[in-house]
Amino acid sequence: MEAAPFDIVIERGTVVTDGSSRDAAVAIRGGRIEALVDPGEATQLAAARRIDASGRLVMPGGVDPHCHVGIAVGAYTTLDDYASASLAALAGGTTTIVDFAIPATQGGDPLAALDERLALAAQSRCDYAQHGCITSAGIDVAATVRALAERGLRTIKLFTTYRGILMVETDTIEAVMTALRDVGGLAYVHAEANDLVEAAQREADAAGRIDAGGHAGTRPEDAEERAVADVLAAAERTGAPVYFVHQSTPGAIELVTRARRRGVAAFTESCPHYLTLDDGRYRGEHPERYVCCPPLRSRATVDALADRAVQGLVHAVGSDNCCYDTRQKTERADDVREMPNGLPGVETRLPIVFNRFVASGRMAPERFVAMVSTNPARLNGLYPRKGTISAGADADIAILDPRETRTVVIDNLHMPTDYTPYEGQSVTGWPTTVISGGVVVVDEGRLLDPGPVGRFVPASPIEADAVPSEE
Amino acid sequence: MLDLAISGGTVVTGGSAVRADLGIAGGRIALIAAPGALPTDTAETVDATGRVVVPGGIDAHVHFNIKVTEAMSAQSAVDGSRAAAFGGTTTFIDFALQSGEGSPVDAIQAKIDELDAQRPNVDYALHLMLTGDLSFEAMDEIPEAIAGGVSSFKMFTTFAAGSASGHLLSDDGRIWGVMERAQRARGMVQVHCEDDCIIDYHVRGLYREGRAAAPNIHLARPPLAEEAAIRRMILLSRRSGCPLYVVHVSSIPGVRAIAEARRDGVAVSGEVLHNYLAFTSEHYGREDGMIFHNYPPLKSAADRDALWAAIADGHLDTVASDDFTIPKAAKLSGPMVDNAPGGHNGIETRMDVLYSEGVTTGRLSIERYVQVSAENPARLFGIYPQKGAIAIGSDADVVLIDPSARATIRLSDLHSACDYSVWDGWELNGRVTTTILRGEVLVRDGEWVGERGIGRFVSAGAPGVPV
Repeated sequence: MEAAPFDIVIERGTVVTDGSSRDAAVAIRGGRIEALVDPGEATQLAAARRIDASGRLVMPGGVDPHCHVGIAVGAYTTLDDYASASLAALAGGTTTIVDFAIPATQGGDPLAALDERLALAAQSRCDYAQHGCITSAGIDVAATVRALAERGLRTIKLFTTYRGILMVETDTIEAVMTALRDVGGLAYVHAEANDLVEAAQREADAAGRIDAGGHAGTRPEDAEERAVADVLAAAERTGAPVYFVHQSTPGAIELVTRARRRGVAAFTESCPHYLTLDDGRYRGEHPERYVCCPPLRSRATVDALADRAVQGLVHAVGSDNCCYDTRQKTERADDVREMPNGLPGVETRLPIVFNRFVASGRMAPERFVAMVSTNPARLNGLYPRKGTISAGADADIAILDPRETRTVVIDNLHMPTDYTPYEGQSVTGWPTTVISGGVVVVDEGRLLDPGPVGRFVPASPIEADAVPSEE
Repeated sequence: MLDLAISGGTVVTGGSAVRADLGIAGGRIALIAAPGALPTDTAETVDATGRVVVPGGIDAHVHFNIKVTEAMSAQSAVDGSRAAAFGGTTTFIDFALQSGEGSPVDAIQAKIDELDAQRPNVDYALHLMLTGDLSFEAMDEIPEAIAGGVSSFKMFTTFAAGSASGHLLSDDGRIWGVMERAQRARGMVQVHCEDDCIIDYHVRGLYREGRAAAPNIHLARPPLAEEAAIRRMILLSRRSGCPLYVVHVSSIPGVRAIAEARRDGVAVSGEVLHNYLAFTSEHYGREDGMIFHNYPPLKSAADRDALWAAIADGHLDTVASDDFTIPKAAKLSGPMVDNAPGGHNGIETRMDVLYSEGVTTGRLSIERYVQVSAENPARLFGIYPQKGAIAIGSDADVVLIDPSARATIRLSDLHSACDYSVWDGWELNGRVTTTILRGEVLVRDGEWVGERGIGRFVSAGAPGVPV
């Protein structure tokens, strides 16, 4: 083929995308995927750079649908910024992160919050999108949703918990859902019933178990499932789609599955930690390091949740990245109501999920790619620019070695913190070469900072049947 | 160097429609490229500007060459496959027929020999029909049939000995025996689901009331008959673990029974015929209205609408034709509810009608159109991804659709060996213009330009799961 040379040709790998795996070469030029090519033809392609992906999976770069960057909640602010968070994302095979533009105070202006986020994101090394966030009924919901959509935001985060900071009532959720429905949008809901959480916290406090070691007891599974049921009812009333962030119990997933059978466009996200780590961590040496909301659950719950993922009932896996360090986590470990919630994880999302499901033989790599890339892209209105290896898509690619085994050590990671919940674990399946926007940013394990080249990716309308039925 | 390029179109590949050019070498898809990125050294180029480019259609339900009686002799595979190519179908799945004491493996070989001798114009795969009082010896040949590339087995819950269609019915015990064996050997069973006892009761009732004329055939074979048989077959599928494919689902209760079983995790899938998406039992009342008839009979407008919803929302999986093309006089030869001939002259119109009535009207996304017309039949019957996908390494079976074409189907323009068409006069908004089989352009802009008779047998692997 005598046409102008390509920038990069990835050869001899197995391309895993959109539900199938093929032996094919991928040709990249000008930041885009220009062609998929039969292996027999690929040798004729002229290219400035050839990458031999023998024995490796060539997958669309990860899309992290749930990644907090430099977030301030209460007295604590996470330690990363767009430069460090996006570099860590790239190191872990994620080439698009979706952050949240959360107003600084309850009832604050979502558009002002977006302006602040976008200013910070100018330092991003990878492409990014934003979720809007509405924390009060005291604004013109419909106008706000339309204004956000015009600026390329079609997903809005809503909280049923954190009273006085973020929480909204069901009527506000319905108003937002209705407005989103009309712009091809999707509500992203943190569902934990606040009254049950507060009651459990009061009880724990009285029993002297409000410290990090008692965390699991302060946010019971019932609280999550009741809120999920309430929000699903709202979705059913309004005819709007709904996405649940970080579902942590099989019961919550069952509610979503049943609603889908009734025709509700409902989607489940879970996180690597809910699929792998259990509440035994709260009985260990450093319980505070594992404090997140919802909390880690019992081993039986974790394994049942993982079974649901194997059955195809978990549509997306987000990191819920919150990059605190051990000093921040320790300061108020005496009271979970005061300490910072959340775990660092944008960098480890792909390997932890691959190790748990694909390396163990329980899940096909196609399903893994759907959970960590394609479905998040679809459910954020970023597909098919993101989340697929197809002609014309952005050249965001992770080349993952399914046999590479590493012990997770914080010193080898890039997140600006001093710990990882997975420290010391042996994990199989790592992205060894990563391409973002047509540029090699991880070259056989070596991270190369491309500079602040990340672009804001506006969301297109999201199809209610964006993710195929698991039936 | 590429043998063929298809440039400028919107290609449905990998689950989405994107602007892309295709390169074909050695009969397979060798390149999928962003517009303009294709190399220039190409032997031949098809301009797809303004066209939607989809995988060649797969019609999973056709009957060629079969002779029920001398009058009821289906069109040949040559004629049927020519019509297929004009209509954008590049693979048909026909049926080998085992009957009486016959050997299934011999029946398959006989069918392959027959089809290969006729030299069909598009590729084909086979199901095996197992009929009547099937013997243990015949059932025991199932693993050998599967090893030979035929992995789906068709059975009947209706048409007992003496029916106008011959003795096709097998009892539930025999169907169970086939399911057990097919499950162990990684095959699947498809069933014509209509309960013969319920039908017999209604037929006798209609005779008693003097209302047994053929246009009442939908009363003789009500939705209850379909539902009863589907639910029984689902039970056998559930207990045996054998995947079940319900051919030509026609009623709301039938759709519902399948949807419920899937929720419970039963591996059951379902097919719709495009005539069931267009016509209702009211058509029987027209002059020569029995040309619209097929088994199971057409139902109400509500059933028709539910079938559309079911293929759109994933409760049913495929759209096929059940092509069984016989002369009009033969088609109208049965005046009563218990002897009206079935069959549908439909292989050529399937892709066009489904596009026009499905995609142009907004009932189906273009992605869903591809799934039900090509990808799902390929997945279910074990020929994916060789067939049913535009992807690197897949057979270069490609169809171009002009979404802006406005046309009226005329019998004189169709290519089956037939003197009638239920589609005569049907308005199309969008239609197939070009059909490519393994890189060979067979039909270009509605004209036959390709080599004839290059179709060949496609060996089926284990059945897959529809999307």
